[in-house]
Amino acid sequence: MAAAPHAPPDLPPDAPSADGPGLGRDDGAVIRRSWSEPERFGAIFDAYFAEIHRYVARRLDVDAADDIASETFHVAFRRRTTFEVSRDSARPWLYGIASNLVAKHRRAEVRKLRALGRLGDDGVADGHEDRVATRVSAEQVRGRLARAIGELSAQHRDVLLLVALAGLGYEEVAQALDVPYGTVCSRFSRARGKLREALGGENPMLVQEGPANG
Amino acid sequence: MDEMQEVRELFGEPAPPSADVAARARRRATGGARRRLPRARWTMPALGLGLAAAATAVTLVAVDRSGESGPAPSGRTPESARQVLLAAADSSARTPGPAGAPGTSGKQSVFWFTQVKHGDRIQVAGKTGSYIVEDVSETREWTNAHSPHRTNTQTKAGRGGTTTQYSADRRLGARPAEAPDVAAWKRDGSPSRWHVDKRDLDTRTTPWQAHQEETAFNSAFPDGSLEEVRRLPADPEGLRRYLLAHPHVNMRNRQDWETDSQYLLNTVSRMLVAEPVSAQVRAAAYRMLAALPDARTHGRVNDPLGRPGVEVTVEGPGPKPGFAPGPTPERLETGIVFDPSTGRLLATLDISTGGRSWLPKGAVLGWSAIVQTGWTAKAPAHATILPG
Repeated sequence: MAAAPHAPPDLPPDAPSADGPGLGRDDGAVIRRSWSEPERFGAIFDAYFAEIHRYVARRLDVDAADDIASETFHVAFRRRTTFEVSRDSARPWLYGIASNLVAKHRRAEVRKLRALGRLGDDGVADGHEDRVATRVSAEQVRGRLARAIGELSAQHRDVLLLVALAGLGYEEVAQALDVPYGTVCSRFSRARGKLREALGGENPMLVQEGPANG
Repeated sequence: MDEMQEVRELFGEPAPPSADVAARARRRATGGARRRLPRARWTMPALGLGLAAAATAVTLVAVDRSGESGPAPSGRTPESARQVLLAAADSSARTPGPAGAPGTSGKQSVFWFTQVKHGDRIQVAGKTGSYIVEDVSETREWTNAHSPHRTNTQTKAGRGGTTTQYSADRRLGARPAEAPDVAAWKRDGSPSRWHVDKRDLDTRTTPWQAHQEETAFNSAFPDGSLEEVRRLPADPEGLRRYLLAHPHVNMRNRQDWETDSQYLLNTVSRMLVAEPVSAQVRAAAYRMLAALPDARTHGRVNDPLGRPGVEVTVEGPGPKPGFAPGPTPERLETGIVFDPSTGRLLATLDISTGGRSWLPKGAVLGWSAIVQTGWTAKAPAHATILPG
């Protein structure tokens, strides 16, 4: 992705690249042209549809993503004259639209997170083997994590997931959600703090990294 | 510790969208819901397009290009193009612009109206040899010149606003283009439909379909108002500078591949249709084109609707491959047809330069012919409102 000046420290290695074929650095010009040549917007669609779909499918599910990703680009197309065309990349703008649409499905998202939160609740094993104990613990970690994310406010969750899942930098999240940069930083740090709290010091998967890095 | 990696693993890897879902979404995201007619393959995106009635479609431009078979266009000097363009400029200055246009008298109504026919020529592989069919369509557009909306944010950013626009289009069907094509088409069994380049063509005409759109950006008024039109410089050099250096140059659809001459010719052809410019600006536009070093004239021709005029062309690079479906020629000759005695623009043409093109050098690839432009107070009834 375009190197955001304030990129958070841990971008996902699988973050989709904004530098798709011929795109990423001049989306503004493409969109400006699409004002009078609508078919040009197809280039924006081609560059970002898959990743927006993926993002929504992870937060909700694939069926919802089919609808919401489609709606995201339809809304974007209809509003293409309001895009700030001096911007290099349309990614934050598109994630912002998608986030607003996901917000309408908040209940479904919370339901999903609750379901994930039940991971590790059942089938607690006899515990006489380290290997089994580790596996169960890993599931418990996931469950705790899901519950913690479900308990975040919608605003904190948006920031957290735009960074963690979409791989946006703080500045891009600020653009996407139309909030000040400093707000993004504080929301992210608070959300992350809550996740750490939920995981506590008992996460065997993370122990090896030690507190020095935490 | 890396909670972010944990979060990513928690949400897993979903299945990608199906090709069908993506295709439907893409249509919605490119104006497909509006069911616009296909536009000219590369040029005149702002003109809507349209086509001639079936009869005129078959008898297209009667241009004598026999003098061009040699390596150099002998006898075509820049001076002659310059002369006809200057003649059109002089007539323009004497002929009033659209009623109510800035600098003219007369009543200015609510909507600037344009009606344009368009023809797109495509080679089809017949059973007994290939021939050319011409797909024709017609577009009407009504742009409300008096109710542009602009939010504070848009104004601050120097951006355009939105306005109410109505558009209507219809297909007039595909036909074999010229006499030799008619003969080849008959040998092909006189089919009424063709499939070429992923396009389905047929001979049917469709009724007008009218749409209303609130968010439509219309290049007629690049900043969403008549202000832009009022500010157009009325002197050739000023107009040239304005068009080449204007911050809204992209709104005027400048394409990456266009030379200055191509861009200026294409822009004038759009401007004289889509914008209610004054007689002075129209005169300046022709004078500006008269100064282009590479403008050529092909002399007297009939335009695609059979109206007599003079043709002036500029040659330059063609569109980038992939810009439009199907093959794109590496070079393209772009032309306008106008009436030098009034300065009225009649039509625009895309002409093959041979090479990679599917039509031989000098053949018309596509055209738009202006049926009428002017002010009207009435919008179409029964327009389908498009979601905004």
